[in-house]
Amino acid sequence: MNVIGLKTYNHLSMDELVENLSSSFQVTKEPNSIYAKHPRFDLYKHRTLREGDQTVRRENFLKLQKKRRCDFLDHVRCLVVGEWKEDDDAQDVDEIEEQMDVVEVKVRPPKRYKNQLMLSEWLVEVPDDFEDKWLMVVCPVGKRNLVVAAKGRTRCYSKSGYCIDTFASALPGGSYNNNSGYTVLDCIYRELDKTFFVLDIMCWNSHSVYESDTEFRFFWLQSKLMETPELSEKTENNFHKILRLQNHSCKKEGILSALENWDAKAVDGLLFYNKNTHYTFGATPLVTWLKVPMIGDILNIPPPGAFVENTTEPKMNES
Amino acid sequence: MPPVAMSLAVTQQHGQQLLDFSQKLDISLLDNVVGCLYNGEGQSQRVAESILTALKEHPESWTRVDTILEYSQNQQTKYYALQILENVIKTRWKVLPRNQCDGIKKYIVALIIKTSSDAGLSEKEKTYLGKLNMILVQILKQDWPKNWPSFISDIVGASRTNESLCQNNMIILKLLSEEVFDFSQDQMTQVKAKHLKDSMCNEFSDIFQLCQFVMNNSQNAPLVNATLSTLLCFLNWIPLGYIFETELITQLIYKFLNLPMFRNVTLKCLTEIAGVNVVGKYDEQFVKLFSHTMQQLRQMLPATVNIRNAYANGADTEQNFIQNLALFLCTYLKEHGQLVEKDEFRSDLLNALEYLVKISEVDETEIFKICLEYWNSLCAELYRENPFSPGTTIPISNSDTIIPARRQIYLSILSKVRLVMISRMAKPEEVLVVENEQGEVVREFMKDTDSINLYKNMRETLVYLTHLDYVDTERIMTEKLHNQVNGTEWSWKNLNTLCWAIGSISGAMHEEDEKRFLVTVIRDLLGLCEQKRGKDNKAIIASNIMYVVGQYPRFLRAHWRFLKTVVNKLFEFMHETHDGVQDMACDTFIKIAQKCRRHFVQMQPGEVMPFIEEILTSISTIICDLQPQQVHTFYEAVGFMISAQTDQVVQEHLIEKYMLLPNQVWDSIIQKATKDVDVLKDPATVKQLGSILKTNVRAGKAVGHPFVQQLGRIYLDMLNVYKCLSENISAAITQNGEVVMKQPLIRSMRTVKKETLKLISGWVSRATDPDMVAENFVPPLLEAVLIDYRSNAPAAREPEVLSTIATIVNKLEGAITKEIPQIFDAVFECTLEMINKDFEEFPDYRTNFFLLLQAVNNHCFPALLNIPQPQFKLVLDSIIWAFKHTMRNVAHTGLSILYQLLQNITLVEGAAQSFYQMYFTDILQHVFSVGTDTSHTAGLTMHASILAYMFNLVEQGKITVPLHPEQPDNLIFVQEYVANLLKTAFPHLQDAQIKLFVRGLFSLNHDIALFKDHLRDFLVQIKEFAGEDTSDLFLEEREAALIKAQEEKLRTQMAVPGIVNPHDVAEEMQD
Repeated sequence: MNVIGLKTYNHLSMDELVENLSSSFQVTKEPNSIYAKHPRFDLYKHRTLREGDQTVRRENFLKLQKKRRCDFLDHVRCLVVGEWKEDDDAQDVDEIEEQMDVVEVKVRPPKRYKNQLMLSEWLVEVPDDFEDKWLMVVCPVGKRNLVVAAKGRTRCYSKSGYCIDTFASALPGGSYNNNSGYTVLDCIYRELDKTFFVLDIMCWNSHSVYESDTEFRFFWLQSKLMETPELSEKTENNFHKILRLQNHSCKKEGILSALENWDAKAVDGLLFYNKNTHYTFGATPLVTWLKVPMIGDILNIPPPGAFVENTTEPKMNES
Repeated sequence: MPPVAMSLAVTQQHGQQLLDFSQKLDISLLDNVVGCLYNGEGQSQRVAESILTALKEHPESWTRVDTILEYSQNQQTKYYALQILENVIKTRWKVLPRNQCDGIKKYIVALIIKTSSDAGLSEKEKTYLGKLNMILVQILKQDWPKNWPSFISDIVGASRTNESLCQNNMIILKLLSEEVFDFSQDQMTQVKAKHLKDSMCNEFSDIFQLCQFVMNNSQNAPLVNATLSTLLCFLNWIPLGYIFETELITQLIYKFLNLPMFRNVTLKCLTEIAGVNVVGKYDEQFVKLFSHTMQQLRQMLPATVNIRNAYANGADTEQNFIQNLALFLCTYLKEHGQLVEKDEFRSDLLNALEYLVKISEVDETEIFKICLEYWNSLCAELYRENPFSPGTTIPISNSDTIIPARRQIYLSILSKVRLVMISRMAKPEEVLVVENEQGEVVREFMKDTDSINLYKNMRETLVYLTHLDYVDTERIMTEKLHNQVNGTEWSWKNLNTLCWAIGSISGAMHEEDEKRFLVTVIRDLLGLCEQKRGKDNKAIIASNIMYVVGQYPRFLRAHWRFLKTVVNKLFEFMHETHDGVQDMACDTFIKIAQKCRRHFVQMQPGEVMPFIEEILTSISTIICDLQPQQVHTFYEAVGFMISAQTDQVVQEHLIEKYMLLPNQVWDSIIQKATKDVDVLKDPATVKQLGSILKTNVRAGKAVGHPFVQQLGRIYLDMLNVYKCLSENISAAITQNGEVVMKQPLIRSMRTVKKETLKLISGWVSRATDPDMVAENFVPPLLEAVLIDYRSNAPAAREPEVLSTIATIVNKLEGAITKEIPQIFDAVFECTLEMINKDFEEFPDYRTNFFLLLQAVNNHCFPALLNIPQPQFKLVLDSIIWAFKHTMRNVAHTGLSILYQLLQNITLVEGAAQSFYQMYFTDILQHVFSVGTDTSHTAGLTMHASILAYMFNLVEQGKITVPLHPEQPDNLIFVQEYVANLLKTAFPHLQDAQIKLFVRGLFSLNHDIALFKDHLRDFLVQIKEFAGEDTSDLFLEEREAALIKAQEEKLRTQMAVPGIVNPHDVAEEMQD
């Protein structure tokens, strides 16, 4: 091989290396991971996923949901007490994806406080029933927390299960004079005003809703929060404000009118929930994510001006 | 008398009875008391202990030892009696009349002979006999050779009569050898030690003949063993002729080496001999030593032997043999390896090296370290002879001519060594998870553990090996990597080990070769990660990939796209929940940020902005799932990048963006606090403040001086918060007592105060503009912290106030002199009050107090001179208090301060004289008191330096005021003063001893090493009672040495014109 050929070969192998490093190198297998670039905007990533891949996985997830059995009451009890036992005849959530042909699958929920939250993927393929069968939530900038109220204390945990804080709240079970029952919520914590924004609900006053669909969970969350106005004020028995995040329709008008109420700097992005999904653990294609400037390219909805200024988000047609 | 039951309660009355030397000793009562000491409890035991101690210290108790030894029924009592005897020998021998000494001597000798002459009895009374032997040796140290000139010939003669006796005599000779040659430094004066060594060498001939006699003729295995052990002890000091000009070596190799019972001690002897370092002479003998030993070894260890298994399955003796073999081969080859590189001995050499490679595989760290030391020195040598490593960029016409001859010898062995090193690479870092004082769980990186040192040595060796042949190194690593991928060697441990090895040779290859190699490695590892199922496996592989990548900054710097991809992947991993991955990501990120910082702030080809801008824009997204400690690490990492931006305007913009998030929260808290100060009592708020300041501390650490922009922004508010929290804490203590200090809220508040001080002192230590610091930052700081420090409850004060001020003084130096009075006013006395009650309480304050004092003494000395007299005395008292501590760091700081103070004040003429007048003798007294105290031996060098300096001052007439009204000559006064001081403190010393000691203080004060030895000798003498006959102190020799030193000193001084007073110069020199 002549010298020039050697150089080209070297370039090629570096390219290949960079490619591998960036795309398929993961610890947890997460297609369309929101911590990497959105596949459509990633200049270095070749399309390793098949067209229609996200759509197919969505269908499979919904199918699997029907077969899955899990003892959620016991799971909540474990979250409350902080202890988990060995349970060998159930399977880990990660493993079941491979077994599509069984009738029923017994599933073991994640142990300890990590991996408890339902996480999203990038919205890569817009589903046909997007406007009818999906709901949108505007996500403020903040940290994703698991909130568990029980036995008179409220605790919040990071995604990796690290206990960030312990305090009193007006959630059922969350303070000394309100210490019966358990409540488990999925929240976003905003440090600036020390406020929790509730994304989703898994259990309220010992009543578990892991196996209810999104539409119901969101409705139920709304009514519970309205019933408990103490949550929206900072008091001695409710150290942090706990506020609701409204959900909206995914029609163009719905999305745009939702954004009108938000200061661009305070918004992290948009979550889209499939109405039929239960509350599951880990990343799922049934909950998807977009940064506001992307809705132009992906949804054909021009984002409001305030959201597009001063951003370093790349556009698809930039080289 | 009938034996008394052990359970009899011991009383003081019993004690009086035993201590009454006019009566006959009641042995069974004594037995009883001793029994009570060992087996009793409570009051009875305490009384027993006090009785036995008193008895031991009684000057006449030694007279009863023989009775006790003969009649006691209790072994413990006998040992106790021997302790009494040992004590008398060590401390009072010289005051006993000669005939009594002789009596004791004869008694012990007889007892030893009686016990050791019978083999059965010897064995049965082994411990007792051992103690008797030690006593004899103590006597010898005192009496031999002067008062026992025939000892050696006596013992040698007696040995030939009885084998059991001979065996014990060997042990005695061994003990004597050890006491004289190995342990003498702190036990004997130098002159005495030399004298004993010379005597032993002179009389060695008799001993040697005895050893030969036993080795040639005896069939008694234990005796031969004892003889060989004793010989081993001798080998490190006997005149070389005995070793190399006799049949000794041959005898050892051919008669004893291959006998299992003796092979270990014999091998040790051969090792000792192999370690003798004498150039040119005896080369022939060394070569024979090697080839004959190898010949024997080949019979004992067949070429196919698996040493690793032999060690793993072997008993102690086998394991010891392998270790001894390692020591022998390594010692020999290190000292004399080049002798046997010649062709005729080549096969022996290669044979030995094969053994060593096999031993290097043994699963025992201590043995491996022995081999490693040799491999390291061999590789270093081979490389340094020809520091040239071939590479692909250099055209090779005929590869053989490139490799130097000596390297060729070792070529194939080194390939095996490479494999061994790579296969058992040590772990490069150790992280400990601990809970700190604030109750937070933190990760600490250990610095100096055994394992890390092992890694460093292995890394160095592997780097040399790579230089010697990078192709082979690469081949081995690539093959082992393949074996991970194809599963034949796959395991987490193996993968980790391999990647540590790969990571360790960074920079050893030429850049092109290194690049090619790395691309292969990372590609294979990425493939492995994809192949393996399960998060546990993937996480381990991911960690290893990132570890390797982080070890090759040169590669990263040369390939921007790759570097960027790595960093983006690390950002992804910062959201990964699997155990340890987030930590790994942050650790790798900071490592890469430090080494490649420039590349993040530069504009890279193909990019629209420097990568730092992208990072800063997305900080909140990147860190949103990290724990606080990880967030701080992240900030520190980014800080390094920002520190590399040389354009000041750009850097300012970066810093602002960088601190945006914490500043947002900070601003909102300050705003709220301005309206309602009680906000600072809200636990969540205080915790937030703590976290924000920690971020600032880490950021400031990395950015350095330019961080002034951020510091200035928050400075005044931060100090206000400090004051406010401090008041809160004080109020809480006033209301509820010091117990509130344990409450979480109070601890949180203290964390905020501490981090504030840490931030300020960290930045000041890195500041490049001391004037700016002095003008803008110091005044508000002092105003906020000084009065607050003094008015706080002692336990609530922050010791970091002291260390921060010390940092400021060290940075600003003279510029801050004018603030010193204010500072001292606030912190000096109230802190001294805390630490002058004992030597232990408030350790942090203690250490920091003296560090501050040191800084002021070093840089603001004029301020010290200007403080009022009573305060100055207090300062001096505190310095003296410091060096009375046995706590080494405090004592050392105190002595350093004193030394510097003395030097400083010499330069200020007026002040100096009044200083000497008031304090000179006091200081002298205190320094002597610690200098002659054996619990302060760690400070010996400093004591010596200070005393020498002080005596110098006197000698050179630098002290012009009279130190004592009635003695105009200061030199004479000081000499007398010191003599009196010592006489009062140590009344048992002879006048002659003291006189000589004082004389030496003045003759040797020009050479600290000699002065130190002189002090040390004195320390030895203090422990002994000198008695009438002081000849054993070698006073004459000592005097002669001092005269010589004095002459030498004069000669040196004469060389400098003017140093010696013209009137002191001898007549003939003045022509």
